[in-house]
Amino acid sequence: METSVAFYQTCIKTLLKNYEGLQSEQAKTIIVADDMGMHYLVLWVGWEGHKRIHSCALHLDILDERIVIQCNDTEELIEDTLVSMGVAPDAIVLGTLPPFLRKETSFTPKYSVAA
Amino acid sequence: MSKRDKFHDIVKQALEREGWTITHDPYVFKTDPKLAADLGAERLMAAERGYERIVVEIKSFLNSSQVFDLEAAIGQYAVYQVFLQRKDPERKLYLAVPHHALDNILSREVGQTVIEALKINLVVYSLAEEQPLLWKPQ
Repeated sequence: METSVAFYQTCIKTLLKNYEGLQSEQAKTIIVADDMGMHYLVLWVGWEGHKRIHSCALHLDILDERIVIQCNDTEELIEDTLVSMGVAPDAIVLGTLPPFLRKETSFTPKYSVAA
Repeated sequence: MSKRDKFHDIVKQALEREGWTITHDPYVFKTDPKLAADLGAERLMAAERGYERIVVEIKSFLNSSQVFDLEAAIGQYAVYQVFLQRKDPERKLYLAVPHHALDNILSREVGQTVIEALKINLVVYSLAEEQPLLWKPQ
C-alpha cells in the first residue's frame, strides 16, 4: 500500500500549496510538510500589536494509510478537494468531528483509527 | 428544502419533551420557488400571553470546516428570516445546531460576533444523549 501513501502525500502537498504565501498585515502563512512523521500543517504566524499570532489553519496527518483531517479552520471543504483529486472517501477521516458522529458522514473509514 | 435526517427527529423529540407542540413538519413558505424550514412549533405561555410560535431550521455541522457550515447556515437563516418577517412576523426563527458546533465555532470569535451582530436565535441540541435544549438568547 506504499503507493497510496505516496499518492496521499502528493495530494496533501498540492492542496497545501494553495495556502502558500497568504498574508495579512499582521500574519503570514507557514507550510509544514513532514513526510517522515506524515504531519502536514498550515500555520498563521505574526504579531498584532502586543499579541502574538500563532494559529493552525489546517492540519492533516496520514495515519494507518488514511488521511486524517485534524483541523480545518479554512473556508474550504478539504475533504471534497481530496476526493476531487482521486482520494477514496473511506480513506479520509474527519478528525474534526466527535468520533461518534463520523459515521453520519460519507467519510467513514472501514475501521476506526486513533484520531 | 433540505433533506431530513436523524438529526431532524432528535430535535423534534427534544422540543416535544420540553412542552412544544409540533405544528408544521416541515414549515413551508408560500414562496416561488417553495422554501421549507424543518419545523414549526408552538407552546402555551402564561395564559394571558397566549402562544409562543417558532420556526426551526436544523443544521448538523458535519463538514470538516465549521466555518463553511456556519456560513451556509447563516445564509439559509437570512433567507428564511426575510420571508418569515413578511408573512408571519409573530413567529420567531431559530437555527438548531449541535453541541459540537457551539464548542468549535459558535463560541469562537467568528461565530460569537456574527451570531450577536446578526441577532440569530440559536437552539443547541445534543446528539450524544437526551439533554435539555440550550436556548440562545435565553
